[in-house]
Amino acid sequence: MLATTITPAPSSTKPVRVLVVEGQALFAKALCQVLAADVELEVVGDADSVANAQLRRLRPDLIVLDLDGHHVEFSEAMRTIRELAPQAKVCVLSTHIQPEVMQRCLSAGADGYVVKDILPAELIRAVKSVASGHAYVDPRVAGGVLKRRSNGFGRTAQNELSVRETEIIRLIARGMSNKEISAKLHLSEKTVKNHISRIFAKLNITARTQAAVHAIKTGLA
Amino acid sequence: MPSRPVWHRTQALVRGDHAPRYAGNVDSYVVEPQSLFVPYLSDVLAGAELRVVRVVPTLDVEDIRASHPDALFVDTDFLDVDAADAVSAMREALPRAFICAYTDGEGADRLRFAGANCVLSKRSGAREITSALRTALSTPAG
Repeated sequence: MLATTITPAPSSTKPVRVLVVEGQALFAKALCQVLAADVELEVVGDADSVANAQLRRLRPDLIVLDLDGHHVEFSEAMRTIRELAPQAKVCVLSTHIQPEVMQRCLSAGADGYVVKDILPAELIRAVKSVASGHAYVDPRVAGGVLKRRSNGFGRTAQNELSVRETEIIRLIARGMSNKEISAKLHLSEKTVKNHISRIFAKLNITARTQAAVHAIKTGLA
Repeated sequence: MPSRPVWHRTQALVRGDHAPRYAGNVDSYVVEPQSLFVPYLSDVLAGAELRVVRVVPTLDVEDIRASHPDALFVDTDFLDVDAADAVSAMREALPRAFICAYTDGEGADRLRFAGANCVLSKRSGAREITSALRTALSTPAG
């Protein structure tokens, strides 16, 4: 019997060009370090926001995008990415394990969603999966989605809160004032008020306490 | 770079009642759930002569008490409890330890009043973090 030798085919594929957009300076460098350690990934840069990311020049295949450190609405950041780097897949990095937050990111066009306590090897796996055209969602969050579906939750897309609105309603549920919310999210109080008005309209409510109750009932808080 | 709110600047404040002067490698206990961040963070802390001896993903005051490190570095944005309450509990457990809170949130003053020697912003780069830690660690007790 002849022995069969399997020789791996020489790799002809170019490394995936990865851009890290992360508001936390040290965490961004840590991410770059982890991603750059994989030969199939090439970290082409990092920035603290989409606005500063030089998307056209860097031409990333994939953007690892921090959800939490943005000064702009997430959907707006996604629109900028789609306009300036339409080829790029987007893998969101988030501190939130709430299914609603993940669903809003995917609705806004993200291709993957991972939570920041992910292990390095799993992050690499997630990034490669998204880069190759597959979706990747943190299993804990995906489990939450399935649970919510089986419980019959769900609203029409028209009434769905945006990522920023979801953040704000969570902070309302924590008892934070508009001033505190504006400080935490780096928004003006006027912008916070506008978001809250939209939240009230979408949920057909008139008071912060109702918003807080909604957040608690739907697992946002 | 966009301008930052005042509280976003890395701030260090040493409180005289629980801030002994440190020299050389300081045994440090890190509370940080973002495991992929830990190796890089440890390198940055080493630049300020903070030697990481233990890293845990969640706050456990009894474990902190048992470990009795010289310094605590705590990512306060991932705690299950109020950050200031957590710092108070750590201060009570280790009255003479150097406590550094690392945060992207508001409330630096609350954290300092709760007993943090130093409050560092997540917006700060490695050099800024190292410099602030060195300053805070070398400031003599008042």
